[in-house]
Amino acid sequence: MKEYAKENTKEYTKENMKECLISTKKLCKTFSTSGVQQHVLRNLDLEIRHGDFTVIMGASGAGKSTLLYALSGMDNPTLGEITFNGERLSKKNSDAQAVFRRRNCGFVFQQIYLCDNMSLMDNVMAAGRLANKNRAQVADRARELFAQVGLAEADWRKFPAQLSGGEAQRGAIVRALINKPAILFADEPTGALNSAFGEAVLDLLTMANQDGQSIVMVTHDLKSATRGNRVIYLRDGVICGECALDAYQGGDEKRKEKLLGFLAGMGW
Amino acid sequence: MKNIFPLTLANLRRGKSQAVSLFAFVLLAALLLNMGLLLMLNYGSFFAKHAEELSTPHHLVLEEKRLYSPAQADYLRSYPGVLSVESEPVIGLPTEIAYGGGMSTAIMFFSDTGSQRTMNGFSIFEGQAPEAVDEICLPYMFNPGGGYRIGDSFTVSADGASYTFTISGFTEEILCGSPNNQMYQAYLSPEGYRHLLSQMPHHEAMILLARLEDPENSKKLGDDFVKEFLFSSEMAESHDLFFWTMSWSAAKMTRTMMSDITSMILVLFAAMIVFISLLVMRFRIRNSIEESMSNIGALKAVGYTGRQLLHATVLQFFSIALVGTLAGIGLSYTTLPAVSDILEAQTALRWQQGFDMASSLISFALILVAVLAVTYFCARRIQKMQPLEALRQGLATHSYGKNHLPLCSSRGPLSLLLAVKSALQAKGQMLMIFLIVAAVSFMAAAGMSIYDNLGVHPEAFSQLLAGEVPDCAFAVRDAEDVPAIRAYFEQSREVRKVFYHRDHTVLIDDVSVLNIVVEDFGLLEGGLLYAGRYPKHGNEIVLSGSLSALSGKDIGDAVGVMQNGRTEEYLVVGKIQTVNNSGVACAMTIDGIKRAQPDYRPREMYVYMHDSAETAAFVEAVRGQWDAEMELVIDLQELMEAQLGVYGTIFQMVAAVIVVVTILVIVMVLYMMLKTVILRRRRDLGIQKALGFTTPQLMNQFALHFIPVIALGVVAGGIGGLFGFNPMFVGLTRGMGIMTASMPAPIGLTVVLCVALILVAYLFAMLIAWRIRKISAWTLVSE
Repeated sequence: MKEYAKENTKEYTKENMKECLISTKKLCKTFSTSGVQQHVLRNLDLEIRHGDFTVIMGASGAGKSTLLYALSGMDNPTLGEITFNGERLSKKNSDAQAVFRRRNCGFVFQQIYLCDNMSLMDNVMAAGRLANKNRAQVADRARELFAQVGLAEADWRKFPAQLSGGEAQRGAIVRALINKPAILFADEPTGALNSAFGEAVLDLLTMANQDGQSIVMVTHDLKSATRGNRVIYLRDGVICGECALDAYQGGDEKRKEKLLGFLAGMGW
Repeated sequence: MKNIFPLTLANLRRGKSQAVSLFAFVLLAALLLNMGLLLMLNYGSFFAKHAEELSTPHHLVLEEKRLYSPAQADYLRSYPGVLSVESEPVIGLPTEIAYGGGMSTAIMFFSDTGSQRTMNGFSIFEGQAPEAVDEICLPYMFNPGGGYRIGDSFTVSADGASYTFTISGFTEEILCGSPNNQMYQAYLSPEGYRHLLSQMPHHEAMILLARLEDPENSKKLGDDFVKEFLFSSEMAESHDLFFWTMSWSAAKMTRTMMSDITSMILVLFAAMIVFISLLVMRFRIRNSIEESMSNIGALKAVGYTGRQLLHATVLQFFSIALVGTLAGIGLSYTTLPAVSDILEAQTALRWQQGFDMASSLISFALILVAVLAVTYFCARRIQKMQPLEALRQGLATHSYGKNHLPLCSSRGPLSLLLAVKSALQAKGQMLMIFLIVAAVSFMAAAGMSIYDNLGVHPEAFSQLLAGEVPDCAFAVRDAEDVPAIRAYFEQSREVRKVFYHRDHTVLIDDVSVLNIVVEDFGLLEGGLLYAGRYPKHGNEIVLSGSLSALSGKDIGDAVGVMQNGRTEEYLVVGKIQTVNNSGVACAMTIDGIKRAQPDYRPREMYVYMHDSAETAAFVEAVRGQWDAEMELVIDLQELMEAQLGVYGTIFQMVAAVIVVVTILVIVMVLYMMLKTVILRRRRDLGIQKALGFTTPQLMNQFALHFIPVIALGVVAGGIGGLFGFNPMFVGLTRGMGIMTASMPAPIGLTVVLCVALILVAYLFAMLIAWRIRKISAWTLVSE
């Protein structure tokens, strides 16, 4: 754990901790279905900062996941700009975005989305070898991360379908972190897990953030939301409000109350 | 039952493009199968029916007038099974004619259109009956095969003179209208007949015709007649007889040979396409069940029985196959005119086939029963599946297998490793692709052999059909002139080899047999012998495979041979193959023939030229020098080209069809597989795109997933086709007398074909995988 923190702080020092990592300008996303246009994101201006655990909340259909995937270059905005680490993401073609993602982004999905025809280790190695040609280096890092998330060799040799939900999601976190991404995107990471597994996954994300990993997480779950230090509320594609929280310490009721109050004000 | 219709319709709607591909496969299979069956079941009977319509005689004797006696007609009348007998005076002679761009020798006889006849009546096919003295009607084969048209000149050369006619029309001839039999019947007006007879009175001849209750007995009748009269003491002692027979059986074999071979190739190919369709169907059904596993679970949960869901699946694929089969059968009838035109060039018979219930029903039943069986057996697992298991995506039945090529320890490019990993995990699918590709590549490689050996370079094929094929052959009128002529040949710089070679008829166990007499079998260049050795001594003989089977005699046995009224015993020392005389032949040395004919003096010679020599020029020179002494002068290379030219075109087309269908099948199989795999792995594709794989990387990975197994299949099938072509060819032609074949393998062409197939497969795979480009990682993940 300490080694991980040291590595991370090499890039993200206290001086740049709150520097802007991603910024959007008048971000719009519109879907057309049978000639009917649906404006999911409307003129969003947003900044995501280094080291933050940013949580995006909102009612169903607010545009949370759309925003998440737009920020990561997985989906192209209809209008507006996205700048990521100084690069104009919205100007890149899909292949350039893919190359960008492999070096800068990690993903944790609600449905986990591990390739079921590969072992857990192979899922991680496929992501790692994509960005790093040094097979041995990637393998060593993978083993290290598996140890950190509490998965033994017997587990990472298994196929995803042979694992429990919690084990699989922890494997997905390893995959997300294998290339030391600038930012980790998590879309409802505990949505498909029971509370015990969900808690374990949240602990891992919290630990990673405490070690300097920038995280953007979409959730509609209050318990998950309390892990963040910055909560953004979306309604009808527009940011209605933002709540800053202290760093998560675990079992802090005041944080939870503050967040509840904010969400109540948003009409949640 | 009606409860399952909405399910079936929903399944069909969901997999529209896959249904279309499957439909195309079944259509192709039904088309080829029905075409093959139509030929196989109808062409032979068409020939028989048409022969009956034309009152074709089942047995024909053509002989010079002095050999004819009423006793011959009486013999035929009293022969069991003979219905009627007729005789007619004609003008008959061996002659040289221009045919198919070259010169050909033939036996021609001219009939008077004014003669009264009940058999083989004068029947105009095109044009009109001859009226003027110099007008002639020829067999229709002279049009597609010989290159003649109405109004063209036709010249007959004999006895140093030429006789030129103008073609007024073509007739449809069954017995005497094909270059394979080399006997042609032409018609002159009464005045024309009388004029020609006045110019060649010594060629006055008779034809003796007989019709039988059962035409299949015509060969037996012919053999008995030959034994009775040709081998009678009067005729036996005569040499240089103008005596020819033609049986309905022999004519049928030669006229339907092409359609038989073509129909067998088509049926074989169709069977392979059906097999491939069933494999593809099996693949589709399994994938369809995997894809809709949760739906199956939900339907079972709400109360559908396993049997209902099974029937819905069976009905889904059955309905695709039903429509495809009906369309394929229907389409096969639209291609029949083209097939008929192709066959007409070889048979000179205009075959117009309408709807045939038998072949259509057989095609229909075969394909649909196969589809039903495969669908039922593949979809059976739906019945046994528990609803919960299905809702959980069939995890209880999932087999995890081995993790091939672990990425933490395997070296190599990532895309290649991932492609090979997924290929190794889908072993069943890869095996299926391998089998399909190997099967079609086998046929394509065989197609290349057909194209090269039967179409472009038919020398080896010619030898199989014709036996020994020298550059030219000569028959000298008087044996006294032979030494001088042979010396002339041997001294010519263009000539590399000369030897005596004669074909004539003998009787073995009352069967008329083509006897090949050769001065020295060591001088032969054709591959006639396939077992034992050639005869060296006068008491030795080799039999053809067909004759050996017919007579029950094998190597080491003694066989009695009747010739010139005498029967002599010979020891069988080997076996040869030939299609001449329906494959019934034997061969012996000159000493061998002298045992029955001590005063025999050879008059026929085979001449072989050096590669640099011009055969046509040499033949002309011989004509110029020895025309009066020559009875027959044949440029055999030219003759073979003319006769085989039409075969070449047909086989080139057959080969082209096979290669095109092969490429089509590979492309269609790839289309179905890739689409299915892309759909099934849409989620994984999305994950990989999210992780950072670019579209070209994923496209390449997809192509690499299939290409190794396709390449292996192509190579295996290509090698198999190269080596398997000769055995396959023998299998198809054994009935004609071919026992062994060693036609050269067109390795270069086959390699080019294999490389082309692999390239086409790779490019097409990339084309199908192109669709990944248009989809964003988010869309893939969110679907």
